[in-house]
Amino acid sequence: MKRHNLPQQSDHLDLVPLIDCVFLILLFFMLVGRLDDRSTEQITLAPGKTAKSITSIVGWSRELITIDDDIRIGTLHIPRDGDLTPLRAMLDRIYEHSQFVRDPLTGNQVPAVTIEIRAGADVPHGSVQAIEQLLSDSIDPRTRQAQRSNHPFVHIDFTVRDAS
Amino acid sequence: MDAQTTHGSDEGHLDLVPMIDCIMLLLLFFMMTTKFIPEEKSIGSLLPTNQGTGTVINKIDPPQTITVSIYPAGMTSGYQPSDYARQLAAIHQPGQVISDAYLRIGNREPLLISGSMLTGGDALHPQAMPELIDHIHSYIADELSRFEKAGEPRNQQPDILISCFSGLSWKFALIAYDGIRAYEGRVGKIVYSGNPEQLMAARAVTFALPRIRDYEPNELGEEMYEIVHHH
Repeated sequence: MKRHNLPQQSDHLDLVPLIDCVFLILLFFMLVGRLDDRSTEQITLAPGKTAKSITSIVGWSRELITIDDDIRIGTLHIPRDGDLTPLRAMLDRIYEHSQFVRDPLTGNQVPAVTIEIRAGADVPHGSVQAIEQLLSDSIDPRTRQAQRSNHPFVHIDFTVRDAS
Repeated sequence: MDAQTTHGSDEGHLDLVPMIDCIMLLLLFFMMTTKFIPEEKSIGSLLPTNQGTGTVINKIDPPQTITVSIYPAGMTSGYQPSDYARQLAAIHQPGQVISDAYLRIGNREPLLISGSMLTGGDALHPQAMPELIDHIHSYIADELSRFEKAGEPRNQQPDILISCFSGLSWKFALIAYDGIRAYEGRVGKIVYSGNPEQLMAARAVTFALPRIRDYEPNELGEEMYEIVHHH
């Protein structure tokens, strides 16, 4: 009886299709991903339809204040309802190192700094009010009492979730 | 000599395993670090600098100011501050957000705004949030058009003050600001492109100052009374 030999299966694994798929996935993530220096902590922002893409003005600097469960600017984290003195101290340092432009409305010199307020949708409005007052330097950061404005920031951007 | 040396039998063979290892690491890095979030944009604003105790400008003929009042839904006028404080205590528990709000311009009928819808909470009807925003914008446009001074430039129109209860979510105040900017963009044709100079010609729109805290025992009730009764 003739003996039939079973065909030997090749032990060679073709990796080319695997590499193709992996390259496609890698390309996808490289194109859609973005290394951003902004806060990567996701917060639900309030919606808005009149917002524009975030751009920087030539010669101006931009500072980001995130308001959620706490208040963050750079590496500074402070409680939302606590003493705002460290935040105002940081703003004073930014003020002292900034360039100035003339405010057409008042004729005063105001810092060429755009402060971006990135507040969560459900952050109490009172907290955002206090930050606005702190930026205009018309509030004592410790007691939250009114005071004379000395180092005000004028140009503000409110970050929103595009709803258009 | 009949046996050929077969040294170099691996010549020409490219080992792909290290490359695949590197690619897998890169892929793992991007998969772990990529976050899919909606695009963020910004609405520009100017903070008034004449605040505080030292730089008050006394105007002989104070301009008319249009107040946009935003307060918790269900609050009606006619109560005393202590009554408002009790009503607030019933609807606003510590750590919780107030769900719905009224938006009123002048002494007109207020508009009810659903907070959950504003955050995009209707998964079955994804267009609910944009429709709600359009509805709010229409209400604001209709009300503000009644105060228009014909022929006057935008920065000579009555100032607008957004007075939002401090315990309400920021989204209610912002949507009012967004609606006002939409109206100004349509009527005044001011499309803010990021240049602060454009805001100089724009109408003054400000948020009301925060109240002094820890000063009165019934401060939330007092604040609610002022907002509800201010026209």
